[in-house]
Amino acid sequence: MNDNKKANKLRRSLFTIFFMFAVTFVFISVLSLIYVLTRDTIRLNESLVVKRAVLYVAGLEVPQSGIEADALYRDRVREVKDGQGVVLYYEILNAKGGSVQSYVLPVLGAGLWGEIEAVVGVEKDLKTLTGIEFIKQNETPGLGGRITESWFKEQFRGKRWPLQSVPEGEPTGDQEFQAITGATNTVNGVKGILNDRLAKAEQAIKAPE
Amino acid sequence: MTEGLYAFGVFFAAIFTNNILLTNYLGMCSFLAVSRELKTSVGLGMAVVFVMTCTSAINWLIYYFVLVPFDIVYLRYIAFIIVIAAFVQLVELVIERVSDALYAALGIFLPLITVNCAILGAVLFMVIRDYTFLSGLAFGAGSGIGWALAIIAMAGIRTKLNVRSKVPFGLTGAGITLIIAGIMALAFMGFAGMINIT
Amino acid sequence: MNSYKFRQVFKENIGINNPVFVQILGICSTLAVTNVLRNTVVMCAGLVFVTGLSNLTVSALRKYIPGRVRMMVETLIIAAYVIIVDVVLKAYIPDISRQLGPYVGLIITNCIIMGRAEAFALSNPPGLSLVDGLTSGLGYSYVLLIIAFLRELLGTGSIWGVRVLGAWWTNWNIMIMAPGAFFMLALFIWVVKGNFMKEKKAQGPASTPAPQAVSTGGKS
Repeated sequence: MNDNKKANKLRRSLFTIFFMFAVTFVFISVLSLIYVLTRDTIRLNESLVVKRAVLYVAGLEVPQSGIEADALYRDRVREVKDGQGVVLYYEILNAKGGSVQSYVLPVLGAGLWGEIEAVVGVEKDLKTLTGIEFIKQNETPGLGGRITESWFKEQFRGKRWPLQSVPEGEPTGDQEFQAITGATNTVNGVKGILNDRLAKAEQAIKAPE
Repeated sequence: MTEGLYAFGVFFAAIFTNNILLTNYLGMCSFLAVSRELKTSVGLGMAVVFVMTCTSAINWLIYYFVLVPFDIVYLRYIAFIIVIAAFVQLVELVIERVSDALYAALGIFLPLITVNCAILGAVLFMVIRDYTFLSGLAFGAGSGIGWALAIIAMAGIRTKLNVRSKVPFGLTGAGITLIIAGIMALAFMGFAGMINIT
Repeated sequence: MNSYKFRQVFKENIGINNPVFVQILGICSTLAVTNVLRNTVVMCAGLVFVTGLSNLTVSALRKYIPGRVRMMVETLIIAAYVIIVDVVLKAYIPDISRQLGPYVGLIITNCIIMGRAEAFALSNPPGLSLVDGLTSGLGYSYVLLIIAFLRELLGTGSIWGVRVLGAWWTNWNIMIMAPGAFFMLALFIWVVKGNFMKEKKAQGPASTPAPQAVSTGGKS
């Protein structure tokens, strides 16, 4: 009697283990399949994020479709890289194969919660902005996170360096931008990042590769 | 800025300025249900701090030493939730054997914690923000303490509310708790700007 | 007989047993994204998908799942479907996926899904469980959609990104932030509970949280 019970218990435990393995295996296989099928699309999307951002800050109309955006990027943007293939800045051409009309600089700096990765566009005078766009930020949702809102980004077009912030809602001069109430740290972070980057813009763009 | 100081800043920010419950809305289920009594809230809060800190650490290691090198990052949800569930089971087993008093205080809450969104949430935020191990640990601990702070404060308020106020029927239970949570969230917004991590 | 059961499940999950305002389940993950209507729609679609399919799968396997690992198997199934949603979003609607961030992953811990799996799928046939899952998800979704609608409207003056209120409207910024979400949900519960749950009040609530010791007379 006892032996039977023990055998049963063992069988049940084995079945449990087998079941767990089987279920895990089946599900992970399905997931891996889906992953492999979509991996390229996802990678393409991720690279498009930066390309769309560059087009946006240059003031160009960004097409909806990924393919068109990619084509526009290839026509109008030239990447200037350093020895290791890292992009130092982007040159925006006024037409396919045309001359340089403006620049876009990648920006990396500290926000409140972590790094803020952005791109900022400048005219050839290296002082007037053509636009900004955030690629990566981890700021507080509803507060610092609002830097990605359209009104906040759009206001930078045409502003001149060095930048100062004014409280939200107040009128701005051509060197001032509206901050976000309650997001002082993030906004100061953005301001610092932009000002620093533009201060070194001349060096960055004229520097030999 | 030294890493230790940065981690310290993350720790404080996770408790106050970016409280995982009052700013990031995580961990509400158990929050609403348990915050009626002060004693149970303290017990649950402590359990959450413990589990959150440990699972943040373990999951950080798993993410950077297993998931990333083997390119199976897309499986992270499964990995994390299994780690959390397994850890909680393990802790429950250990506590049950080791200390009756501790089990009475913490043990019953542990199954409740596995489905607490805040635990998984803290881990997900940690990997999204690319924290180092020390900062990740500080973040986990801070988030836990922030959550515990919120639930204990809420329990205190609700006990007073029971005795003194006439709450309209429609608001009893979850309704008034949410309103109090909203007011607390407003209050915690006042902490914004207190921590400056640059 | 079968269709009666379907209809009953449907009615219950949308109305008397609505997961959100009666059982107060699962608001965690989605409340965060209710500041933009479009994101909420995507989030809710994902949730309905996961709840329905995980109910279906758990129900189909219910006779084979060993008792001791029940919760782990359920969690595994739910996590797998959430990963599918996450990957699909990343591939086909990447910008919304970035805005949703970690909250998609948090669908796993959404109490509703686990709750339905335990309460329903384990003891009911797959077809009915699927309906139960889908309708629970729907019951949950419409509450959040209403909240999102109001939050986006009052907070930004626009719906689905399109500005509808004129320049005369000053944005209620608080609606975009956490307190706004809490207040909105509380208001919603208040309205529903106060108006539609009066019968429950008379009988002494069974499925609503135990009433506080307030002077409304009846205590169950």
